[in-house]
Amino acid sequence: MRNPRTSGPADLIRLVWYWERTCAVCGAEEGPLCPHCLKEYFCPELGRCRSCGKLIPGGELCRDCRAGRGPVGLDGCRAWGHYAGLWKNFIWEVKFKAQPWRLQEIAGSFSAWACRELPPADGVVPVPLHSERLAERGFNQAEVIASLLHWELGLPILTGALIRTMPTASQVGLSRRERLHNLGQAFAVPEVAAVRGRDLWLVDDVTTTGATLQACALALKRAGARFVYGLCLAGGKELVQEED
Amino acid sequence: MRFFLILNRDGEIRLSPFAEADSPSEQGLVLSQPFPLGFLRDVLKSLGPGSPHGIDRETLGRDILRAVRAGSEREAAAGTRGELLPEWGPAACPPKDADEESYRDFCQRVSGRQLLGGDLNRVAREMAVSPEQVWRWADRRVRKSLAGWFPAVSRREGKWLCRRCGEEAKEWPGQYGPAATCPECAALGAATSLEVLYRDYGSLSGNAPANCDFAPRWPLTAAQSAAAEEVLRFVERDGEKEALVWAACGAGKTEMCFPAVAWALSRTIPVLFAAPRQDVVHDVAPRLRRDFPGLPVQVLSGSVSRHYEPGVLVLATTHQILRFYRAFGLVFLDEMDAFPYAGNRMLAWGVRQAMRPEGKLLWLSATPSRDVLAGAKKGSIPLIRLPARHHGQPLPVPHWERLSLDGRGGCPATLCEKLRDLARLGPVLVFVPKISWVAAVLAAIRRCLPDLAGEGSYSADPRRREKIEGLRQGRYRFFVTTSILERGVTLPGVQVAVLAADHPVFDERALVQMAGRAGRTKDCPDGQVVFFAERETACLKKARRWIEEQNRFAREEGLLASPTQSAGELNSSGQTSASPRR
Ligand SMILES: [Zn+2]
Ligand SMILES: [Zn+2]
Ligand SMILES: [Zn+2]
Repeated sequence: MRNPRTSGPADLIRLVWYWERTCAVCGAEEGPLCPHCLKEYFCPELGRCRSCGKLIPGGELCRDCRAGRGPVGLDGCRAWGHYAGLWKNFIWEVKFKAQPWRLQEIAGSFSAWACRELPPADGVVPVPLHSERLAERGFNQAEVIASLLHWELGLPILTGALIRTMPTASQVGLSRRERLHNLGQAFAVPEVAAVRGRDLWLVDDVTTTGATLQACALALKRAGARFVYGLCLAGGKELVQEED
Repeated sequence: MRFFLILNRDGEIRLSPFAEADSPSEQGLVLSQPFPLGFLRDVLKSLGPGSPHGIDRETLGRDILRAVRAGSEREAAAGTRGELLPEWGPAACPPKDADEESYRDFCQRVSGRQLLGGDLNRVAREMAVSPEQVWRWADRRVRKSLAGWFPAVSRREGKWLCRRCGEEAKEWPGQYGPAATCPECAALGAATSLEVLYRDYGSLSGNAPANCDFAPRWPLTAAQSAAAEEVLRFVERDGEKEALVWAACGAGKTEMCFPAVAWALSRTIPVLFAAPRQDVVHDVAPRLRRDFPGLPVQVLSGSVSRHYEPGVLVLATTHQILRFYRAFGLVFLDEMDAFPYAGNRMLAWGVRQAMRPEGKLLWLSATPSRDVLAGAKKGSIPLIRLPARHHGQPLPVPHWERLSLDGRGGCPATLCEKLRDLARLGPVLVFVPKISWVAAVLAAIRRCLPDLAGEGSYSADPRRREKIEGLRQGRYRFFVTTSILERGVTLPGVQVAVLAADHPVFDERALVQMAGRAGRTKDCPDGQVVFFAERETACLKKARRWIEEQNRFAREEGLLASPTQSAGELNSSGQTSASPRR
């Protein structure tokens, strides 16, 4: 299946839906995303680092990735918005205040953007949460994002294709090396046939160092996936492109 | 947590977080892929109750697999999922149980509770065992029908309803079709349709001490004794499930409930005392510990670190009630009129769910809502009254002074003179309707009355605690505040002034509570209460009538001291009936 963009009544409903909405991010201006927030957080004029997805002023790769500090195992990666300000707040509230329904407000804009940015895929794989963490939070935000892409684009979700075998402590405050070490063994593909030879979009809410995406991508590649592309709602932004 | 569908040899179906047979000797088939509990339940429902498979395991197995396929394919686009679809495999052998003593400890901690996955993980942390161990014990209780697994949110009559708080949940597209999350009780951890609620049918009283000592430290007054007697009679008799206790501000309604608590505990009936605010709960706990020596009192609020300990007497903030299921035989709800309780459907539901079907509920209030009071007058709810304070003096009746204020710091000279008069009698609490008024009014009074020390505070004031301590120590002659001080603080000789008393934030209940600050101590049993307002609104009149009505009733019942009689005499007259029956 190659990105069949649904059309017909669903599009009409979406149109009416958006028409009445205020901006999902700032809640003030006309939605789903007002021109100000679009410019402030989604920076259409900026490029994305091909390797880690970060927002960059130009070129193919960010400074880190040019220096070889980027994630490996991904065949491409895109972060939609800059993880800062109201957009960061939105994602934080969805996750920690248990408001997954709010993601619907950005579903259309995000899927349309993802379609333009990434090559087509056979399926979407959400970054899994360990069941302990899942029980605590009530839902996995990456699964909700994958579901939105499924509903918007008709892409299958490969549920259970990738599982988390070890609970990892919160990654906050750890160095990149510590994160990579923790994550290296945390993911597994229980049924190789589910991903073998497939092109996949690997979906998460936020990427900072790309460490989680890397660990997942490597597990999928080991199981025979052909191409794995990372896709996130938000990521870092590189301010000035310097020549090293 | 995802659940496995297990098909036992005899055709019985079981849903469990572990893909294991009931016992090593039993063999079963299990679906290779786990699903949300709600999804599996829907699948089983779609098979219909009267389907023809009977005990034929082969047919039943095929039907289930087909229904699961249909369900998951319908939701997550068909075609490419082929290899991922579940198959039947043999159920694994269950591991040998860990030590029985820890299991019993677990049972005591979760009896009478309803817990989400996150709560179960917290039980594991408090017991210092692995979450997996706790989930295994929980599942063991479910297998013995001592508990149940339920989808935390499920669809009933076309609506997503939260099983924990009863409110409607919000839908979002999930990977198994529409899913929903409850926004109302999210503060206690998110309840979603993809996650489970563990409900334990065990009794809290399983661990009650054999006998409980009730040793009241202070005798009840005549008024308290009479009311305590009525509360006890209500609790003992069959019939009405709810009663209202209408107590005057500062009349000591908490201690008055203790004889009924003692009665319940002596029959190992679990008791809950709940209040909307944390400070009330923490204020009551030491009084219960004092009068019930040796009884473990479990305190649950946002500020305690351990939530899952056994105990037959529970003190909790009202939200914590949502974590109990049919646990209590006697419930006291304090300050039922106070924020956030008034009109809160979720907590009303939570209380009913936390009570045993035969349980008794007492609403304690100084300012009962119109609905409850109307019910009491019609006779549908018994009304128990405690109209007099321990010193036997009537409640100070507020009077109205015409005055208009804009709150921008303009403080008319007449007001300052009135405040000076009040300050001669004792420290003055100056209530204002909004936080933004505090600083302006404080500055204006300081300007007019530079010789009087004054301070001001409000709920979010970082120095609130320290300032209130200064107030208790008598450092200030006047103290400007929003309604934070309206409950729970007793200051000797205090006088009360309410500015802009006709402001809509002050309803009749808030006015009664503010007036109730005055005259609470034996040494200073009276005080002035002045409502400054442009008009005497209906709320002002009503507040005054409420207080006058309490005084009239107290006088009729002979609970007010005659001018020659001292408060001490009244106390001793109440002593005999204050001791608990039996
Ligand atoms: Zn905006
Ligand atoms: Zn990069
Ligand atoms: Zn709820």
